[in-house]
Amino acid sequence: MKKPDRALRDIHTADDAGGNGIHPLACLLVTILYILAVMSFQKYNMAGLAGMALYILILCIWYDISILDMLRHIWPAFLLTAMIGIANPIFDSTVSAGTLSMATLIVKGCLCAAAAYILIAQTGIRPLCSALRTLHFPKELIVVLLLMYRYLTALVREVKQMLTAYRLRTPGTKGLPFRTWGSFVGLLLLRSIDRAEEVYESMQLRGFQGDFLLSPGSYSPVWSAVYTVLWGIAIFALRFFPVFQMAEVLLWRILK
Amino acid sequence: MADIEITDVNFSYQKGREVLHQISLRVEHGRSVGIIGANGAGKSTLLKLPVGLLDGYEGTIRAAGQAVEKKNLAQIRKKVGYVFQNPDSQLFLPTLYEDVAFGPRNYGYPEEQVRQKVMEVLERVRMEHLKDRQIYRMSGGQKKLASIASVLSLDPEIILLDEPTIALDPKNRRNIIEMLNGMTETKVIASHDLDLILDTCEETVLLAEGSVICRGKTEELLTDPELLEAYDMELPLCMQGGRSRFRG
Amino acid sequence: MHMADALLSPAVAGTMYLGSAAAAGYSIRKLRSEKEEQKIPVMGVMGAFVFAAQMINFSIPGTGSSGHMCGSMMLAAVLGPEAGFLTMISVLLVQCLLFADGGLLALGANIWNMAFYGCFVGGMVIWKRMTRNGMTRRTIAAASVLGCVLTLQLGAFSVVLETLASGITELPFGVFLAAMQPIHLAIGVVEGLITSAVLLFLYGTRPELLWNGTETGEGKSRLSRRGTLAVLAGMAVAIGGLLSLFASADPDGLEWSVERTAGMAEIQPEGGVYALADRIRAAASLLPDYTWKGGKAAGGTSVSGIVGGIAVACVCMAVCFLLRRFRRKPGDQKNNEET
Repeated sequence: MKKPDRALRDIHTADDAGGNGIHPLACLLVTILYILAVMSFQKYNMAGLAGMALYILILCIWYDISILDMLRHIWPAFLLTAMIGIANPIFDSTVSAGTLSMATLIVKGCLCAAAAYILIAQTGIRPLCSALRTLHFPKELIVVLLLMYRYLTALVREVKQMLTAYRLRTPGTKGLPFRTWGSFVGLLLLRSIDRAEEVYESMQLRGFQGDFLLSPGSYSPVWSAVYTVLWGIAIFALRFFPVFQMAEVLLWRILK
Repeated sequence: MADIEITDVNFSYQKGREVLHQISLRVEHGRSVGIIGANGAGKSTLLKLPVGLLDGYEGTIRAAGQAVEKKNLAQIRKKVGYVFQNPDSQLFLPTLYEDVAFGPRNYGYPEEQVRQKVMEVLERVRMEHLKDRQIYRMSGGQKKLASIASVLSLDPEIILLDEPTIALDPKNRRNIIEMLNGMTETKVIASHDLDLILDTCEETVLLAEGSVICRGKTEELLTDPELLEAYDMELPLCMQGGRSRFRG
Repeated sequence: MHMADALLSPAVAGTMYLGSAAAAGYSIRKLRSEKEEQKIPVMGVMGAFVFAAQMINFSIPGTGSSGHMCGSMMLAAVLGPEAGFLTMISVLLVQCLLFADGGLLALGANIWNMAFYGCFVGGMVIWKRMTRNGMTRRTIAAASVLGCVLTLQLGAFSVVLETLASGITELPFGVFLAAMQPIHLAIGVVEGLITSAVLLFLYGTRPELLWNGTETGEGKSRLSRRGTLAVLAGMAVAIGGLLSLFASADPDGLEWSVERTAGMAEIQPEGGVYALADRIRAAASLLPDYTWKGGKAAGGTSVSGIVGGIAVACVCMAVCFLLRRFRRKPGDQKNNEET
């Protein structure tokens, strides 16, 4: 789990990227295609999988995403897949096969997590929500999601302050002792519920009727289509053709 | 006809514990009225009544020409804006633009008009350049202005403000006061920042333990040290001797 | 126990999405029929609360370690199972999008493993049953601990099934299970203690906030029966799908069918000696799939593709940087205006 500071930094990545002109749904569709393609690689196909990293590389450059931040971000996925994969060298047919399958598993985990990270960095939560709404995603879920996103920072900051205040009065303790569990979290819960009641009043006063109507946003349909089609082709090619080898042959031919 | 008419109202959140007792209050069109009183005097409760946030009161309340009843609430709330004490409760959408546009969209304005309205209001509070800013990244003063903007976007005739200057630094406080003085709408301001009331309101109502103690011209009421002290308040800072030393 | 995308095959991920979507559909219909609009903001803020509370380290008495909260049982006990479930979906979605806790396509599985069991089994069955005859401190504590332990066991068991059905790990079923269940027993007990501490605090301060299993709103009886059926059906689909996948020796069904229709299968050996040989070859060369015919002309097979890969990557990056230059100009102006 996260420390408050890290969480706050991560939330900032989801601030509206805006202005790239590509519809969030196009980004979402491409991301899902990509993850599906990555997931479907065989467990020994490291070479093919490595090719899929191109997608991450290109988008990171294009959207100015710091690769270091991204690596830090996908750390949990790395840990988890490594934990599950560590058994492969022992239980697979041979140790080397097992090591290979563990490596592909970890790479898969990292690529998928990176793709989700890039999706958020290129769209932002709010445009993504408004795009999902156009797909008739249930309005209740979208409203809950947006409210949650809005109050995440406030509550994380509050927890941080409460923890600091607690630590200042009880030097040397690590974590929250048993007798304070209930009151510490309980008070936070009560404050959250009170906050929610006021938020509801504010929503009512401005005519809330069960839905958050959001800006449709201005996206270029042409660029969105181009983006989807190009990536669709690229992902298909990377998944089913030995693109790198073909390029190599081509390269040698040209050199000759 | 008065913009807000509260007649003989009693209200309690729980049975047996009356928060407001026999309150009557008229606010004429275009006036600005301050409500002062110690903590727990019932200021916020009184302010919530005209917009129909509290059920189960006794007496009659009329706001913007209509009785405060369930069937009229949508119309009343369009004409009566309410600015919460805590801007984090008021601004519940991720970005400033979306939040200010929330009201007009719910009242069915077409998107083009929504955009126009939002930009007009943001210009009024001088925040156009922040329209795509995330709310949680704003300072306290910006949030306060934003919450006023989110109420102004529906063109209300009456604005109710609960502690508009609480937790603001002097510059932001001054900024809010100037804005309030520039507004032509009917205003009711509940606060224990008496300097604010003195700067913005023509009339003041003193509330204590859920009852109206007295009502009068702000200058008269707020210069009466005995009266204020009797109800756990002090003269506005600018009236206190200590302050004038610095002013020279 | 957030699952990553890599731990699931597309087929299993899809199946779990179906199951979770059915439960979500039921919950939304239920919420709408109750007409409790004021619950929605509470759900949103409670979601953020669960999130924030997960950042607290709870030190476990008698041990040097600390535990965390997952929250679905607590959400169910405050909001009721349906609203709690929907809130938990949002929590999991945000965790996946913002914090890389769990994958985007594994979301369906994560919702099922954590939110479904936590809210429906923990809330609708255990919490409701045990507090039916009035709440006392003892029933609240017992329901919290029992609910958390049971739902975490169910969740852990599902993780094992899903992973094995996806053919991801080589771990034998028994070993995997023996590793997962005891760990989650311990986690469940701690989580249960945290949950009960918080719910008892709530019971002491504002007991009206606890969900007591009573139904509100009209039109409930007809809908809830149909809804329960939908949930059961969703469950059956999910579990049936899982088991059938589990039963097949090579569960990577989607990949296989895609390749067959695309007409360019990676010549998948049907098992036995072929499979073994293929694995060894794969391990030895590290480049198992790329023996393209033209490849012979250029370089050795063991390094085939590496030079090509580097070349492609370089070209792509160069093009990217070039295009970005053109794109940059209006963007820069905008950035300058903002600052």
